[in-house]
Amino acid sequence: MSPAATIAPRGPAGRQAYCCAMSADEPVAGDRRWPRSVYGHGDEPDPRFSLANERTFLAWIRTSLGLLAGSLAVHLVDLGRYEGVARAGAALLAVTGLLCAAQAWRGWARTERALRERRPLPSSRTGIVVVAVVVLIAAALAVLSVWG
Amino acid sequence: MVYRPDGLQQERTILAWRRCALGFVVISVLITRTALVAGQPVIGVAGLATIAVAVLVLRLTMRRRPWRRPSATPPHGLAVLDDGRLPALIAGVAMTLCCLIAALVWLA
Repeated sequence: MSPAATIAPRGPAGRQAYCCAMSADEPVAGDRRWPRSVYGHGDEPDPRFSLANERTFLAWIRTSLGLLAGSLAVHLVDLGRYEGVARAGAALLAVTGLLCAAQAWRGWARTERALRERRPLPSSRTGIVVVAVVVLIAAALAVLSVWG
Repeated sequence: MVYRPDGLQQERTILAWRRCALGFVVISVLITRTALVAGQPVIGVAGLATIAVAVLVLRLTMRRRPWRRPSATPPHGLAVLDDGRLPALIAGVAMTLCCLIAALVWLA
């Protein structure tokens, strides 16, 4: 079995065996990739880990877009005299979407750097905030829709 | 030496990028329509402009072919992400959209 079909070894040898198969046009020497806070540290990780990190970044972006769509939906809900609540909820969802987009970038950069430095992956509390906001707004909308 | 595809990681990542691009298209249309109905044409045009980002991402992914068969030579151009610029752009656009929607909701 070829090296490309197995987990790539760490370090330059792994890069030669696997990374070059994934992106052979990428220079090894004179690396100018941005940001340097990520690519200026450590050495190349297993590309599968980088791809997984990339998908996690995209999942956060999609969460942000979903929250934006939810914000517009809440904005269009007719709550009668509680219109202010709907407006505040919509604004809160948009701000949470902003938080998710920021977390997407921050999480990607921190995780990529940790992968390059062979450190444990960083954790984040953003997910808890997102869940709390969504539950809060859903509960408020449900209560106001039924008893409002 | 034979280079073999290692699972479907690369294809899954490309599909994730395409889903993200489609999400941008949908949210852009939603913003534009809501903004125009609410009488905020500037926000509507800005929302529509984000479709350009979705088209950029789709073009980047279209140029990347799924790697399914072993090859004798290292395959080229499989990765969507070359460095951190594209994630920064995508996150920046998403944050801009969030600000636009927050403004739209507050001004409407």
